[in-house]
Amino acid sequence: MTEAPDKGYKIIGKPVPLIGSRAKVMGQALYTDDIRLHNPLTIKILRSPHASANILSLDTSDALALNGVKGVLTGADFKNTFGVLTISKDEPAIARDVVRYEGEPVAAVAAETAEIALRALELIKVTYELTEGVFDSKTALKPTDRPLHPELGKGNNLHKNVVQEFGDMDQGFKDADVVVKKRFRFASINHAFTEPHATQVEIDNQGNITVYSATQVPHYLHMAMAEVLEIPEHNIRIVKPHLGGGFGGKSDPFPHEMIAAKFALDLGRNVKVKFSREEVFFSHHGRHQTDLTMKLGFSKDKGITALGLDTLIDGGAYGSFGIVTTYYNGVLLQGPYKVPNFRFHVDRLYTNKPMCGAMRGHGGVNPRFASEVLLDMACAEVGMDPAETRLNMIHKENTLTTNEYRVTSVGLRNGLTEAMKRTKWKEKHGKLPFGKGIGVACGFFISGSALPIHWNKLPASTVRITIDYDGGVTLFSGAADIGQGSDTMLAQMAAEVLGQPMENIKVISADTRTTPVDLGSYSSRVTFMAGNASRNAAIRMRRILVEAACELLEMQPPKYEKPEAPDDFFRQGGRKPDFEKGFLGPNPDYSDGFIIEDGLIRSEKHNASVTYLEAVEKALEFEGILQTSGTYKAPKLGGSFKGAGAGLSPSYSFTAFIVEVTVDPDTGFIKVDKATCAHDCGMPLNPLSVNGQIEGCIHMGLGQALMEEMVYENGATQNPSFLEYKIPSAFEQPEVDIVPCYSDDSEGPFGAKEAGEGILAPIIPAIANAVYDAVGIRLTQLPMRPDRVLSALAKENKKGAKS
Amino acid sequence: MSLVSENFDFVRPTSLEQLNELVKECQEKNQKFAFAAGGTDVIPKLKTGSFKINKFISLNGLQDLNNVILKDNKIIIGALTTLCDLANHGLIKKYLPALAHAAHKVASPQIRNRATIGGNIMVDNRCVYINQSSLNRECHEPCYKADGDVCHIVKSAKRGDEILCQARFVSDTAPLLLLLGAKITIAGANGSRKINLDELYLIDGIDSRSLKSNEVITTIEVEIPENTAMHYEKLAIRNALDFPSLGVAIRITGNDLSVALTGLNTRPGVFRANADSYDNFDDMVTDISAQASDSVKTYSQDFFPRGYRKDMIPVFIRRGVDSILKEQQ
Repeated sequence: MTEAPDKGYKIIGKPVPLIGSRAKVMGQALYTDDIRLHNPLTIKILRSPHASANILSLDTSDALALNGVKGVLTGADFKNTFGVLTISKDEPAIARDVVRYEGEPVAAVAAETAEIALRALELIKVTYELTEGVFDSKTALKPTDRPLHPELGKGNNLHKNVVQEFGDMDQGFKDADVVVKKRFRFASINHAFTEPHATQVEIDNQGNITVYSATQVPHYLHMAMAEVLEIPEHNIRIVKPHLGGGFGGKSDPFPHEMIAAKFALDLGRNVKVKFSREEVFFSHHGRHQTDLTMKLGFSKDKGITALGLDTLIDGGAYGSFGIVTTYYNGVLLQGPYKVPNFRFHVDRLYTNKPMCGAMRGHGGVNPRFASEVLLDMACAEVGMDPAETRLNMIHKENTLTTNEYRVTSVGLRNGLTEAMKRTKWKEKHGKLPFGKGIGVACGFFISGSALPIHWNKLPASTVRITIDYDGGVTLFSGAADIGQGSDTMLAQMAAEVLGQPMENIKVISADTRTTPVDLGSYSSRVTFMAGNASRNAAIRMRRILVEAACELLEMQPPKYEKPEAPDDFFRQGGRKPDFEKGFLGPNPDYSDGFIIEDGLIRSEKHNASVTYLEAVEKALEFEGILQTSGTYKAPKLGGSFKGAGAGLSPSYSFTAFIVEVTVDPDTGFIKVDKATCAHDCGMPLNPLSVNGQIEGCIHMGLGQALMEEMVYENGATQNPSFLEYKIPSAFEQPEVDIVPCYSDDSEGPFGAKEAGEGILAPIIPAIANAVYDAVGIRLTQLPMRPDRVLSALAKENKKGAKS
Repeated sequence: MSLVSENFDFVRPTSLEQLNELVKECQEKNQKFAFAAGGTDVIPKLKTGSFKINKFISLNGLQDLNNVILKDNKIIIGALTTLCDLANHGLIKKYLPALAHAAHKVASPQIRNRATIGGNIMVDNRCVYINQSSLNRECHEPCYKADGDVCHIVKSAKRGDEILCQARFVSDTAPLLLLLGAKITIAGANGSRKINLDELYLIDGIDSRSLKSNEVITTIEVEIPENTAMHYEKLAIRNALDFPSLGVAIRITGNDLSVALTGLNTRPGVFRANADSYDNFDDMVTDISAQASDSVKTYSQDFFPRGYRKDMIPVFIRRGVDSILKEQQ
């Protein structure tokens, strides 16, 4: 189990049940579709049965004439396209003239009941002219007169091409004792979250809309919606209710959200829309199908000498987060080990399939599999222990990587050492009987993207804290709690700083009308960024309370030390940070000679105290209202070359997995018996929650490793259900051992880093490496289905027979 | 779609007489109807729109059919016995433990709580092109099972062929019942009749059951076998939820070995051998495995590729036999 080092905190590092978990378990939590608006219309979406076609005609008159139908929308009703990235706004809310994937919306109906809406869909007459589709990356690279997106002015279906090279690759491979190279293939996979997409829109009599939506990014949705609907942002309020899992699959603005808002505005009625599971699969946005060839040079003395990869990622019909994914397929290989000579080439292609986008471990998961398997191969070839080798190669603290990432805290070496000890690695690796194996792999991930998607100089996170006359603390944050527990984390920050019990902190979050801007729950940024903002807001509030206490005690208020951060630590609109105005600097110390606990504010030195409520009342005398804000913005980071911004983060997490498997050589089944995890998330703020993330990542990784795969036939989704798209059941979950692993990140809030995504990637190659240890085969294709295991075994046996 | 979009009437007769009346009424009015007990097979088809009805006739009112009794060395299973009850029933566990195990291997606890044994031996044959979203069915030409003119699995199939539709048989419980020589009692407008279970299963995937549309299965009868051990081995990527990609039932009675396969073709395959015709037991197992493999043609209509499923037939037979022999020691 995750344990936090004892640093004398009351709430930080202690297992805290997530806010709202009781309501969820009791079935009382309201998810988007549970909200009951007054007399809403139900929206159903007509989707294209063809992956590639022109819309020759579209007749909605019969549908509109149906009793109970209040409105029909088509592509002609939306002028602006949208996309989560400002640099690829290529998606229409409803297809106009052309459909680019099976399942793309071609019309939408709002009706008094769902039944009427469904009947109306059948009455819409669409004439399609089928066109030749593109269904794989290789074909998409070929020149064509009819690319999916002619507006890009390219003669093929290339969406984004990135090549970056650092150091001297030729020299790197020359310096190597062994060079290993393989081609790897990865199926596209879906997030498979529990709650399907849903949106409800409430409209008031002045034309303002409140959009309740299952979204990870209320702020980006807010901006996209204003642009698509061509109304001011202040007429739109986005609220995220309880959310049943995102994993990146709810981090784009979606067509159904635009459609719902448009209907509400046009018809002056409340509306609701929710997806069936099929529709979730049709809109997908999952992990890209990937075909990559990687070459790794390894020296016995120096470790990795060079790493190069050429990658095709199949983006599907639209951009989504794809440009970021393209970069992440390369840059995230800059850890956890030093790679002195590094080159990557990634092409993202448009194809006539549902679009791919961000998914847990975004872009880093597939190349991580390849690099960790190749590293294992290199170790095997030179006869070095793969765990020890990794241990020696992990970045040192305060390192600059080859592509100029600033790595600060690294706590993985202790964690991996402990994992090796607990699993008896030395006694097992290479020594287990045929069919039993043990494998290791490590990973690395960002603690939040340092740069915003929409370039601006505003803080990445802002938190507002108020204290009411009764002493109740309310915390306002735009961060979206998507089940990962960010509300709880924010409250922990405030509770610790303000010396309050958790019950006294109420969190209002993810509501664009009442909460300050937060960029959203993606790239594992919330703990680091919103966490720091919450901590800072609470520190400012603490100062108000302590000053009020001093006044009551007739004492001098404490003198606060100015932070030691360099002047340009934060880029505050081009100005130097103003320390006099309460600029806090990175991760400020808040010791002030006072202890706030049990409802008292006590001076340590003078053994004098006032009650918390007396101080609140006194402070209210000055202010009338107690309110502070805190912000976070990443420091200036990174190099000055093109694309240097990709993957920049104020800090990075590190993970190691040791996995034990049993491989059945007759059936090819891989059974994961045990997964031992060391994850350096800095200070584990809430060990309960960190455990949950680790167990969840193992389960999700197991799915991608062993069974998950989107199956397409000429662009048609063949398995859009949880019966045919296989995710593991509880039976497949292995025994999990979580070893203590931490660091103290100098800039993370209370030393914390991310714990939600980085854990996922290394479990998958650790399984593959354990399979090698068990039966001597290298699997290079995901999922590692039993039939692929048997084919690889057969090939290996043939080879053995020859030699 | 997560919604059953077509309206239909729901009725729940409480006696076979009432049921016959309802059926007669439907036939007179030319209404399409479906029988369902747990509904776990019918409801998903109504949701995807691959199946449309005017009347849903629930069998759950026929409470007499929800029991398991022992009579004259026979186990008589009421068709409405849920798979959960069957898996946990004292008589089944005592006399037919392999059947309890097979019932337990179906789907999930939630489904086993509703789904019945009658439904499981009747479960419709499945194919990736028909048990599919309506959108996906729209983008393919309608297949024979959808009243169309093509089989997407065997493109050369044409009307008049012995097998027009390759939708595969997926019952987990039927293979063991076949090896036990189970008899089923069928009630219809003209009273009841009793047939061997193997007569229920037809060769084509479209109408794969010999039951007439106005008939229901009332009981399944199995003679308690003497000197017998049985086993069911299921191929699925997960330990829950899935239909069998391959299911192998084994029966060993004295020198007799019999094997029944599910999950592969349009109907279950049954193979028999007697050790007296072989030099040793092992040769018999090898031979029956070869027989089974040779007679089966697998198709790409499952998570596992066709070749793999075929390759697993001998492996699973060997495992089943080994597991029985190990228990007997």
